Amino acid sequence: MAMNPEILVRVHDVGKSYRLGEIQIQALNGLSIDIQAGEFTALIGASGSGKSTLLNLIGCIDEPDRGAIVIDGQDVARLDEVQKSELRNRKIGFIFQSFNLIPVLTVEENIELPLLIQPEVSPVERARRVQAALQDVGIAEYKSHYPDRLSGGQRQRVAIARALVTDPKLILADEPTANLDSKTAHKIIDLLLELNKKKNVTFFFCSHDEKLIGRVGRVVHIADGVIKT
Amino acid sequence: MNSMLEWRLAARNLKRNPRRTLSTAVALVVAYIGVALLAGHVIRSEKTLKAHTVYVNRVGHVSVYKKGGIDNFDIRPDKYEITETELAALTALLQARSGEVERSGAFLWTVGLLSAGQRTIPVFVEGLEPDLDGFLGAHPRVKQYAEEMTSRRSPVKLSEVVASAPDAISISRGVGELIDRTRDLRQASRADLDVVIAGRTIEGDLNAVNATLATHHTTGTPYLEDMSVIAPLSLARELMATKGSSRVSIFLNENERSAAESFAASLQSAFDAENLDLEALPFTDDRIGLYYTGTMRFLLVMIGFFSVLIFGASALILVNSMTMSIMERSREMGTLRALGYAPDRVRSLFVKEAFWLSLFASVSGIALSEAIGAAIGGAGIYFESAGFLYPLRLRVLIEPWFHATTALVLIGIATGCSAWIVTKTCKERVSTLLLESGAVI
Repeated sequence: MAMNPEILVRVHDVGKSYRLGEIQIQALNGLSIDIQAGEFTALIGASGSGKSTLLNLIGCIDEPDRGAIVIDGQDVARLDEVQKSELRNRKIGFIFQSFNLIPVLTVEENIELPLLIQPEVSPVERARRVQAALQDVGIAEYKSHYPDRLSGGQRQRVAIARALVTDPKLILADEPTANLDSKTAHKIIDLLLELNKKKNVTFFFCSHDEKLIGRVGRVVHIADGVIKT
Repeated sequence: MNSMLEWRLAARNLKRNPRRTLSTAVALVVAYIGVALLAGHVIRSEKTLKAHTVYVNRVGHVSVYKKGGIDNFDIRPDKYEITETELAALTALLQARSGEVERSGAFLWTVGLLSAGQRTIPVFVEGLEPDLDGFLGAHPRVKQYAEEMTSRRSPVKLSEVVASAPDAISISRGVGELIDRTRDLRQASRADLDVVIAGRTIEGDLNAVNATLATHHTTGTPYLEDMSVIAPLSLARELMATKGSSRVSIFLNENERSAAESFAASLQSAFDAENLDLEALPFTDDRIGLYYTGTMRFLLVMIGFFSVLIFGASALILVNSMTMSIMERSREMGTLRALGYAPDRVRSLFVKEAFWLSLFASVSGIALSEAIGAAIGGAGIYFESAGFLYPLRLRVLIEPWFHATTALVLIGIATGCSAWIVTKTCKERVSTLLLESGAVI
């Protein structure tokens, strides 16, 4: 598939269905979308519209039934499990709705986790990058805390720092503000926008919060497993 | 991963459910202690049996017989004795191996009659060099592992008496009772000490020698306690009218069975090369150490069976615990996978947890089994053991090699079970793992 150098992610004619007992659910139905490098894109849709499924496929944590997904020039279908892990680790950052921090690790150690599997990064460089990520998200003073001592907003900042620490090209965020109050949610979106401008990292996040639509550069609507706008 | 964080993460994960971790660890520690104490008893028994066979029974680490002599010397001593010439050749061969040999000695035995006053009883007369008798009775391995079998020896040593009385003999306590010579022989009258031993010469003729009762000994086993007479080799040779021997026992510096077996094989090769009609047998050969080999076979089967049973049960406990842990932490596994951890790396995290748990259990098991072993040894508990005349003190000897082996086995079982259980979950789709509940916040 020919690839425009500015396009970071190309999703072409992707289909995905799930089986729920006796019922076959068509989550994505021939969906296609391109994401430009440096873009800040919000994927908006109702519950069950296929937002999370699309994010999972782009994040290489699920496989499509048909179609092609190309990330930074790499056709995901051609990658084995280890290569996909490598791709996730080096090019994709994840921010989860419920933060997904490891409770027995401190803030600093949680952020360090994805760097530990990059052998070329020395311990000194690791520490420098973790410190920089802590500064970027404004939680440096909490670096020795365990996640259970932090508020929801602080936990999400840790998750953002963990996603940023490997300098990925793409950050995928699945409902990153769903578990936060609206004031904190806006602060988190502000932070993501600021990081998008400062680091030119591509953000692709899904949400069903219509209030956030006006604040992002590109809004994509999804319904019944296809892109509507 | 080069970082210590993975090890720290594994260690900290054990604190997530302290009650479950503790109960699993306790099960592993109890399993370790059970196997260690059982093995400690087997190791102690092995050392006692070996000391008994090699030193108390005077078989040596290696016995040398005329070929066929084990079965036939008692019937045809003239044909199956080790001749003076063969003894000289054997002595030369042993001198060439002096670095391995602590001591060796010739033995000559026969069945005869001992007359003391008006009493005459059948006896088994075993002739040996008196200083060899002293060497064997005082050997550190005997003192350490078979003290019960020699502690009832008279303080008077044949080796000391024989200088002034070449015909001095030692009788077992059982023989002493039969001929009414149980009291300290130093207090006995001259008439009570004079005895006559009658027997057959090597050619089958009748012969008799005068002897002097000098001291008591004990065989440590019931088999010969009522018949045993230890005489100087010269007196036995005089009785049998020969300069040959029934057997030569060789005592090695190395006490391990492998050393005995290898020495015997090497000596046998030398016999064959020099056309000597002799055979060298290690004490682990059934023909000369049946009590040792038979008992050890039983003990090893027993400990093998119980070890499999105990470790099997602990493996099941561990599997159950790890399965629960994995079920609770599927979402954490999914998170790690999403961050770029390959399935093998995630699996290694859980394997490290099992490693810490089993390491803790092993260290605790070593400390507690040593403490319990010391307490048992210090409690002065005695038990009757088949084949021994006197009760044996209950002691457990757990050696460093056993601790190292058992700890490795335990750690191997724990990490193996963990790897086995976690492998399937690690290969689940990341999106499926992330849908699970719990474990991350």
